[in-house]
Amino acid sequence: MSDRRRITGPESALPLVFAPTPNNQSTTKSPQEKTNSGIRNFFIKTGIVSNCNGSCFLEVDNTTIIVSVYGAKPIRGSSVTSASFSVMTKVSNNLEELSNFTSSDLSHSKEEKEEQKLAKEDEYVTTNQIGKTQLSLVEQKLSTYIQTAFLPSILLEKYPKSSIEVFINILTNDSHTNSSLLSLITWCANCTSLALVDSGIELKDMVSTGIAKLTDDQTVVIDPSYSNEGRKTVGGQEVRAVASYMSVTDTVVGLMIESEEGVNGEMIEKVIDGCNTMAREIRSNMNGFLVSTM
Amino acid sequence: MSVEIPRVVVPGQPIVPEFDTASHSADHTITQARKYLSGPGTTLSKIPTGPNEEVNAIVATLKGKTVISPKSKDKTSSASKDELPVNEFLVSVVNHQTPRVPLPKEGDYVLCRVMKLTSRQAFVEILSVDNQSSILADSGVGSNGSLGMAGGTSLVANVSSGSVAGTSVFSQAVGATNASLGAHPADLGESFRGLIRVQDIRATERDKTQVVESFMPGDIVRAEVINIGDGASYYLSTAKNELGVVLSRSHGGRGDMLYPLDYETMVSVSGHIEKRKVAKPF
Repeated sequence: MSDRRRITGPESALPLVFAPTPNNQSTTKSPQEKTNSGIRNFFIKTGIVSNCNGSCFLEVDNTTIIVSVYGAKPIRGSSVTSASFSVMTKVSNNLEELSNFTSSDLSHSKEEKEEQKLAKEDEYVTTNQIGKTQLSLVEQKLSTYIQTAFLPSILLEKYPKSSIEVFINILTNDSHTNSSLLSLITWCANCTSLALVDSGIELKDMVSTGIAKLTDDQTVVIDPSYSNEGRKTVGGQEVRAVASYMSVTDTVVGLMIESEEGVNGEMIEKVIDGCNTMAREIRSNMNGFLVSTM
Repeated sequence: MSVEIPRVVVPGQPIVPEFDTASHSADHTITQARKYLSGPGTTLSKIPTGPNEEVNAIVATLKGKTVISPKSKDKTSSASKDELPVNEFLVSVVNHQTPRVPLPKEGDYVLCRVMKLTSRQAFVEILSVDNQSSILADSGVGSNGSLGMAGGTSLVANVSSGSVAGTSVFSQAVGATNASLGAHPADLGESFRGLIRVQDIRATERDKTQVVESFMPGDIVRAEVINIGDGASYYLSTAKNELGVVLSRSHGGRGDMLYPLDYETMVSVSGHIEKRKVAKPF
């Protein structure tokens, strides 16, 4: 997806690099204390990017995300009867930890690991060249999830010959607590939902997303933050899941489950129930926020 | 039983069921049936009300305020005495904070600029849907931007009223676009395109019509969308009296504004006459 509106610079051009902010450490907050059944406090603000149709900023602990929505704008030579919908994610270049974390931790099969190794090498090469040209593995996973989850919610047939583009920018991430990719997906999805509402694109329903974890002793932890107990990588039968819902029609539109070992139906049911609880709470928060901004 | 209608809604929120009844306040007898129709900002969808049970309801698709307006029925109802009168209402959601980007649909009148002519068709770029805000008010930089074709809406208003004063506003608007950005939506590949085939230019004498005797590049044309067309362009028609060239500059002369003389000809201040498919000005 190249940007036709910009003139690309000469090949030898280098990206502008700013010196790191001197007292970076002082701005990082200590993670919130939380219980198993509650969700962390989060901050949202919409309409902060002026040249797009809709945008949303979300902050939870040390994770900050900006989502901007462009569209519906005309495109040529593609789908006639309905709009095309695409999602692109960009993780800030200085978030090394995030890429390290996912490369080592995300998957388990040998083949995938090999693939990731290659991807990581690629990433290394591209980041050292002029900016970043291709999506990293994290960015790809995030984009795919968001696109899949939001496709059923947008009334694409109302926008023939058009395209709707979503850009997710992850500005900061909880680096010292290594919060999981799933948690990041959850908050990106919730932020995207509000950005889409802000853009005035017609939606069948708002999508709200929840995350839950089933621990060894079969307790469900909603919105797990890894800061509380440190990260367990050899957690035995720990199951983590993200699920997106359209609450009014009670439909699941996105689901991602992650576990070190096998999972059974009962475990999935429990963990999805946890996700649903969180998604409902998020949805009521969103509704309240939207009504208060009108 | 009457349903309470939410005043402020968020996307996905049901507003009213499709059918509803109004009852007499005193004795609770049903006096009329109401049917709600889905207007802008809403859609009709099935809402689950219980296990294996669902009801058709008008659901909001935008964040905003609900507006319910009675729909006038033009035909006198032939309902017998036993039948309840059915009143129709249009439900819509409006939000003035986020202006809608109007997309041309079948039957809409659009204003467009002629880009290229061939012997069989005229290629145009769609600027706005008539009487609505312009498509890409900002020439494609970002739809909420403050730059760009600021005069887009006033252009529509003035052209619609057909006044001579409108022409000067129009030239200002065009000037502003070019000055502020130096780029044209079409250059950026960011506009909807349309084409007017030679047989769709005039309602009469279709065989004799020639494209070059109807349009010239740069003309502003009011046209009707007859088909959503292929991947490349909308199919437009000017085969009605009120459709055709609304603003034009002299090609053979000094580039003066042309004013309509009759259905086929336009004249400049200096008396230069050119052929066009002229829209009825008033």
